[in-house]
Amino acid sequence: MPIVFSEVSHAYPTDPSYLALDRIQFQIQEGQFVGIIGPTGSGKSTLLQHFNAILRPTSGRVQILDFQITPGEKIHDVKKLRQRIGLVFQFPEQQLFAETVEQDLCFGPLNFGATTDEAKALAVSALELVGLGTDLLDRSPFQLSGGQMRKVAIASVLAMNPDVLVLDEPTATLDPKSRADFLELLHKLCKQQNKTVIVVTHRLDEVLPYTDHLLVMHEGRIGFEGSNMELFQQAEMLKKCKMAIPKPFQILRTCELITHQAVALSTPNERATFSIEWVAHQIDRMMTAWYTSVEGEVSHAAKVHLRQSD
Amino acid sequence: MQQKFIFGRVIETGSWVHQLDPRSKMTAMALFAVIVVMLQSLTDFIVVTATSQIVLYSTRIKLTTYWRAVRPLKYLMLFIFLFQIFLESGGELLVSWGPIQIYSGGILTAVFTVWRMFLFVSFTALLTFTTAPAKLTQGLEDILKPLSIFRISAQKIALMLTIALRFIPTILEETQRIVKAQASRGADLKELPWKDKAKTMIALLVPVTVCAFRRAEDLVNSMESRGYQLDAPRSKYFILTWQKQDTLFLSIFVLLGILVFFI
Repeated sequence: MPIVFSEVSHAYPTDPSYLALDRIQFQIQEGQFVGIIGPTGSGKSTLLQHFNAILRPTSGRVQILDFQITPGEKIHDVKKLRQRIGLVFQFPEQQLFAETVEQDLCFGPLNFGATTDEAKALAVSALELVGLGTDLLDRSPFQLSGGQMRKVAIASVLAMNPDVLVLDEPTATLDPKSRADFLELLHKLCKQQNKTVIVVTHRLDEVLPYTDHLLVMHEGRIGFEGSNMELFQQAEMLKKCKMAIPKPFQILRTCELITHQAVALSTPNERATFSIEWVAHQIDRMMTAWYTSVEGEVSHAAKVHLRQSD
Repeated sequence: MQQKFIFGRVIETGSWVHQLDPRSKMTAMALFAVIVVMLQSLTDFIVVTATSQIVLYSTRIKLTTYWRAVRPLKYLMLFIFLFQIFLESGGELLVSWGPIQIYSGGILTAVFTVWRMFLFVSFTALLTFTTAPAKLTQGLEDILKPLSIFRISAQKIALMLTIALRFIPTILEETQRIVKAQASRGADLKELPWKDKAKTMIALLVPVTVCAFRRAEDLVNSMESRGYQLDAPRSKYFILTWQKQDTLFLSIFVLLGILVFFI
């Protein structure tokens, strides 16, 4: 059961004439790793709060799993929806409140009707999932370091065992190593446990290696929807959406111009990851094709020279 | 939550009241408070109500906006009204029904008390609607200066007020975010029965308090790193000047006071 937004608009009551979301339309399939990208003020956070009915659309409809969210109408079982959609807000460490880490991790599961033993078991497995030791369980969450607090807060959402995980800028203010580790973890959750992961961010470079599907937002509208490869082919629209073109895109584009070759997937199902290895492989392929095509014109010696300096 | 929060918002219309010295406005408010407490007869009430509404009207802000400032107090006012009706005896006995006895004096007191509250709250809203918080605190600092003979620092009090006013919207916003985050973890205040509401409040109050303390610490550090020192001589952002209009504004209330007190 996928996630479908049809013609969703949202205006905040403080300023009803301004549409924070303007007729948003997209689809997300189950088990996908989705990146929602956009500059600040493009409506990303507003969009994200529609996933678990914290905000309701002012017009249009949202279908999430087997729930329908429409303006005005009361949702039948909003609690059930919120258990299945784990929403992690920006700076989630600010939501910690309990005396021990364990109590904080159990808060979600207990609210959703788990027994104390079940909740404790879920807490332990969630903590291990984010790579923290169980020795933290009895500590106060306020004694932890900033990075650990962030991880505990995210674990507190994972402990609810949601089917869909929605995260708002989860890597903001983390150091580069933790950032990479964390996205790796999300990717693992997505692929191994078949959870749908939706990451809202303004760092396109960071999520590109993992995403199956991308949405680019601009001024409350969807500026682009598609795969990594499609985004690469339409990279110019990123500028229109006030976003920088990521480095791998620039490198490959330059390489295409030099070699008169095009970036291509080896099989139609291959995912363009734009990781360092993937980019290197593409450059190598384009270069080789270029050498072959200009073999007649370039002398053998020059070719050897190029190969050596490669 | 935010759009209900009408108190403490400046509405700029550029009227003569907006341009008054905050010190004259504050002194006038204090006088008005005294006057409201001293009101006794119906004529007093009518005179003061008429005068205050005319002054409010001259700010060119809609009168209904001032009346709306009373709205958050509606339950308190209702409670006080009923309290006075049932417990105040005096005048004729109007209704006697079991233990409930209502006297004409009770009704009169109840109406007057609520009327007083209405006058006071709607009129003092003028101060916050027409004066920027920075001017307000600076005016307060000036008024409190004489307290220095009791070793009370007016600057400290003014600084506290400035910071408190400045952070009300920030903390409200932060609270809203935490409300949403906890709702996502299955603790939605709106959906819960009353008994569980109290328990969930802890999950909101602790993070909000922690945030407020963290903010306070950040603020102290950033102020100190920019060389802020309490009680150091500082230049002022606004230069307050007392003008003819200020005397005029203040004399309205002095006259009103004399009128109510002696007639």
